[in-house]
Amino acid sequence: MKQNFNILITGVGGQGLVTLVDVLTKAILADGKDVKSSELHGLSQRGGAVAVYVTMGLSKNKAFSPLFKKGDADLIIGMELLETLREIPFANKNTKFLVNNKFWPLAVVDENFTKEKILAKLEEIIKKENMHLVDAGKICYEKLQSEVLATMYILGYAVYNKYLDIKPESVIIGMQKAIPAKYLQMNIDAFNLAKI
Amino acid sequence: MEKNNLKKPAFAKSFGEAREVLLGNEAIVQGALEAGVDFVTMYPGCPSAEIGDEFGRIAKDYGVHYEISTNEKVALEAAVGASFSGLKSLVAMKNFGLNVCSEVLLPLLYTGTKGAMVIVVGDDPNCWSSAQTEENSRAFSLMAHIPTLEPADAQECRDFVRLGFEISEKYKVPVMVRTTIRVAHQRGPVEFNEVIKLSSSKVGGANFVKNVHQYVTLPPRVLEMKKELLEKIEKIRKDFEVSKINPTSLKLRGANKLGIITSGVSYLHTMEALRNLSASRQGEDLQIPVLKIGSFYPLPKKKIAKFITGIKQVLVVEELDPYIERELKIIAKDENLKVQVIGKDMLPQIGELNVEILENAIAKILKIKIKKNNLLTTNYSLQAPRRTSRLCDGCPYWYAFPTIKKVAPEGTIIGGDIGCNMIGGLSPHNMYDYMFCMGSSIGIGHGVSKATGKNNKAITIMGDGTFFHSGMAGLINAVYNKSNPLMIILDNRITAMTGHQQNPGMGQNGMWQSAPEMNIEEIVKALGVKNVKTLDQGNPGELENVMKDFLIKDDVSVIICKRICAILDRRQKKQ
Ligand SMILES: Cc1ncc(C[n+]2csc(CCOP(=O)(O)OP(=O)(O)O)c2C)c(N)n1
Repeated sequence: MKQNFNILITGVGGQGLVTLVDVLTKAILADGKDVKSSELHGLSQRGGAVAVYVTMGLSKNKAFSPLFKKGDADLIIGMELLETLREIPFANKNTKFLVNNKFWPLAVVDENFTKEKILAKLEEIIKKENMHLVDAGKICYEKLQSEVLATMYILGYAVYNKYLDIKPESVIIGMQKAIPAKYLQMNIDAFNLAKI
Repeated sequence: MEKNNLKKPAFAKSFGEAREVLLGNEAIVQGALEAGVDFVTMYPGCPSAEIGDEFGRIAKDYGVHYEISTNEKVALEAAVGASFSGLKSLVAMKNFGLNVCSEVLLPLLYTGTKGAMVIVVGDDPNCWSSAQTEENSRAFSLMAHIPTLEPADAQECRDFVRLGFEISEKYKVPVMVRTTIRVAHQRGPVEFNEVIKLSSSKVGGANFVKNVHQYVTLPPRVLEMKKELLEKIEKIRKDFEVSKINPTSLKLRGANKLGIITSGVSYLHTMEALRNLSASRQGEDLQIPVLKIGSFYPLPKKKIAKFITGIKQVLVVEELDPYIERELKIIAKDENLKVQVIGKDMLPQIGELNVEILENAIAKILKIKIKKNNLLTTNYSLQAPRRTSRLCDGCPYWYAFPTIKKVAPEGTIIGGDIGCNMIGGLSPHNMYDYMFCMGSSIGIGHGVSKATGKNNKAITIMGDGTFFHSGMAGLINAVYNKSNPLMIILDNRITAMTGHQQNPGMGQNGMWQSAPEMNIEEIVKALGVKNVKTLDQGNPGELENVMKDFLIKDDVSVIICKRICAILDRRQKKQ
């Protein structure tokens, strides 16, 4: 029987991944489940690759390691295209991908990794029914004038479409705990934008 | 709602909450507050920086003195003074900081503490956020004889810090809590006290009771002190023999062929690996006992001996260097136990451990087959190009690096230092010929200039934070010993790389209160440097002209490139 549900969140420094993992882990606890996560800070402000691993214990199971192994991700939330491609080794044939349609260019341009080529590669490897390309950044920019809210939109997309088994109310609790009052409502709005 | 002397837990939304998901570093702050810490000093660095950042935010509310000290040595010295005056102190730093403060640490174990003291040190296996070396702080536990606790998760971060204060209180020695990046930056549920009791702040009203016998480390007393220390350590070892921080997972039975001894985050990987292995064998329990070592120093030797008695093989799961493994071999020999010790012959000494490495190792030892990972693809031509660290958009260093490269005569030796300027060693800049540790660029540059002669002026690059941390001694040396490097100080008005902490050049202290502002140019002049210029490298031509002028000088020159960090600038404009 499956003991854990593993979520990999990937992107680049500055996209708000640390806030996302803060909200998500608190939401999982509010949902009554065990949770462990691991993240790399440090150079994250400099457009460097960021990968966050979240393990959620299923049906009262304990989550031990904060770092699951290759092939064991159940859900990959890719906030950036190239970083999503980088983490493919953690995916298996059933892994669901929620990918923000956003390319953050490299410091030195690489002709083999343009936005179009990365997208084509992702679509070639990942089965159609497992790949969800979402214009999260664009939608948040247009509707809420802030691209950084894309993380909360994608979280809403995952929860409302049941790719992630936690109750929306639990996420709201997570947000109330992790996000300063001043920014709370706009984050909730971004989360709820994904509810259709 | 807050009552006079009762405060809510540091990371709970409100009074009365007693459980939340915390980051390891947050749990450390919570544990220290519960223990009643009075005095917190630190120097920033990954993976311990958030401990200071949080105290910078909340210290005032809890009546705690918090400071970012000049460097780790000074941070520990300040805590020693507070401890001798009876206050409870916490000191936080990254692994390299322990090198810097070791000069204070070793005698501190001899004198012992008065007010309890916990020193939190963060290691970084795999060098995710560190340059220089993949350092293992446990070496200092042995050298300094400092009791050392190794938490595995956020709950233990809180618990072990509290325990550290208790041990320190009882035995009057400082206690080290050693984390690694996967513990410090791990999140998980933590149970904590629902209120924090404040005693009226003792800072400012403490009492230094003179005790020459204890605080003055002069011979012949110093050798007596060593004896006292070693005796304390044996008493602490006795406590650890029966402490619940060194638990065994299964009742030992004669049938166990293999046992595992592990510590820190490796324990969590081990438990996950064992669970996965039994799952892949239809839930058959592998019956492998695990001894989790929470007290790395002093090790509970008897408990370990008992654990390995009657088992045939023991696997030691520890990251980096094989300290427990070595001790274990000695224990086995002393106790005449015929157990096969498996450790670094099977597990890597470089980089982190993880579930996969452990599954493979355990399966190999047990000679069982494991399921292959169920991978989406094995086509590794997919490998995405690395995102190397780069300067942020608008970073003031973009204005300095190309000019320095252009103006430096062919063959000039250029030395880099620690901080965002390290990026100068990477593409597209590639301008460094050496890079070591904080403050070293000028010290080494002096040696290069001296060794290679007058016409080979070395150029050395250093940040403002590093100048205050440990750059001045090297500069004094260069002036005093008549050498001639050109030192370029990149003053971006903050200690940027570690997450934007305050430094003495900013006019603000660790709690963002106003503080005396040290003027780098005045300091440099006072050190005897004749050729000094402060400029904004954003002004076209200015850096180039001054460099050309200084490069032909026979003595030491210093250029201070003063231009604000782009992130700090954007943040200030937003406010
Ligand atoms: C002994 C030691 N302590 C702390 C660190 C962590 N550290 C890495 S970069 C850095 C900041 C240096 O700041 P500054 O010189 O102002 O350079 P900036 O990042 O602002 O360019 C620090 C403290 C370290 N590498 N070594």
